[in-house]
Amino acid sequence: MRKQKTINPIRIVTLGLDERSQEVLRMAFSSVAKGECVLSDSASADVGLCNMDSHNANTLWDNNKKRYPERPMIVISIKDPQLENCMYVKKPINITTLVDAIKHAFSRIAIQHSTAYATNGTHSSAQELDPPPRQPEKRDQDTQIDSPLAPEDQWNNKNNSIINYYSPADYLQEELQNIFAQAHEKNLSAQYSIRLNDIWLHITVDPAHYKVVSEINDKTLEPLCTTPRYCIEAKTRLLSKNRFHFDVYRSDRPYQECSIEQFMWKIALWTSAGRLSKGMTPSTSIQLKHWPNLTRLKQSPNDLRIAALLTEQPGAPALIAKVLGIPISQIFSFYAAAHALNLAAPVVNKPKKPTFNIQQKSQHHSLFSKILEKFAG
Amino acid sequence: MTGHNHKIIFTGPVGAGKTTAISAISDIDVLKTDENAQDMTKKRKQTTTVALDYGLLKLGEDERIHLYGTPGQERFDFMWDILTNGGLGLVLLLDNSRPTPFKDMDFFLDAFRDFICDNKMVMGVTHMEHNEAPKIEAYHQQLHKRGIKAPVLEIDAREKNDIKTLIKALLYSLDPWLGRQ
Repeated sequence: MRKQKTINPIRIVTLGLDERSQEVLRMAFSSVAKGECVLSDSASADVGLCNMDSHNANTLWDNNKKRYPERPMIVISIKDPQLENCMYVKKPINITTLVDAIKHAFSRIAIQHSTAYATNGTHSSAQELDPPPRQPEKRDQDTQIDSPLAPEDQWNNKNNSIINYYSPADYLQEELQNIFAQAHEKNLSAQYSIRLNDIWLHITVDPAHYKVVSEINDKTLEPLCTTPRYCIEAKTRLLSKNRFHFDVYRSDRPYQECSIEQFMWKIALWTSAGRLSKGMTPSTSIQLKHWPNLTRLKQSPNDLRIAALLTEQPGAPALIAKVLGIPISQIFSFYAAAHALNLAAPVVNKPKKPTFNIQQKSQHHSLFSKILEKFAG
Repeated sequence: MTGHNHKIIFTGPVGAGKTTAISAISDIDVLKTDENAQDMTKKRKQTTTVALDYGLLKLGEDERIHLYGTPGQERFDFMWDILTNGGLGLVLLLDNSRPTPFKDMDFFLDAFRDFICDNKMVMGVTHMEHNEAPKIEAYHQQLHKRGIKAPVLEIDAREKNDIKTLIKALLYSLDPWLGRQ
């Protein structure tokens, strides 16, 4: 088996940098920083880098501080923005200085002990960063593309007024779906390869047997699902039937095997990460074709309850969340996964006024609750 | 039977895993009434349930859920009416390795037609690991033709978690408001 590099790069999320600037940064990180820093998604980032000269810098900064109050931050700007609890790097940016600042920020001590840094000092303070109280956000739902929620927020964030949006096309999900569709259409296996630590690892789909063989384990795959597609080096090829067996089963690398349904369900679940697909709104009514095969699919909180309710009648995520008393982010993730399997879709015709009767409980409600408690214990 | 005793009925053809499924969640050793199988049944199992299986879920001091498994052989269907009386819901288990699982499904849906109209059911499909067809989607299509919307889940009757999930799906279907805080 080939040896894998053991570098654990510092993961950086950028705020207020356009795609071109990010590309420059990526090149700089791979050359000057020798791979010690990489760009990543918001949920898994170690350090944040905020361009305070961008037009919506203050909003980005505020939102980020609310969501990730303890994340070390670096701000870049022409003028010192005089912000607290961050490190300031003056523009024009010297990449070596920036990388040093990132390394410094990566250590909490660097922030807490407030050492003057870079070209124009720092505003780090010695006290711990106290998370500010969460406030409902008002945002432009049609244009906003948001970072995935942090794992603890995906399932537990009960503040249903915060709606986060994403587009599957910006991530691996849509590309994988397209490749799988192509493979199915041509009745050939297809291989999607991702370069990780200089090694190409394969995800191979075999439509004839309806299965996916992945050399990328779930622990690695999950964060990749919320990494912007342009941050991932990947390639695709179709395989002949003989080639499939040669490539997949004669490989000396460990692999995981599952059905296409199981694979796409988890990819969609991870990609959504509690966000709503762009083009939908919390009040868009959705319908479920039938129950997903939930004994064989990656479970998410309350998926059985959501499936039971949506099977009875279509409903809008906002209403379902209210009726079930659960975070709306759970409905979004469930919808994303079910939609990826063509089990859920928005209601095209305007439905009748939704009328879930919250008072309507079974006469055996208490008994059923006891059974559930017993199963949980 | 007192008001504190309720039942869930497990049904399905020979070898679908009814006895095993009840054993997976029962708080007592399942009372079986197996005998050496005769005729066609013997090809699938050495023994088969001739009367019924019985298991129990204990909920605190005074509440019980009785778990009844119907006999797999069709000639005992006269007992089914008695069994379903007062049942909370129906668990239909189907064996995907049998030659005509849809025919099995139709047989049991017809047999429990009245009960299903008034209550809820879930379907668990066993032996799918080596018999991939028909797929779960196809079972849903068959149910749709009969106007039934029910959970259909692939299960291994030996797996406690699968059976728990199946029962939970039944309970949430009966009462989607369960678990609301």
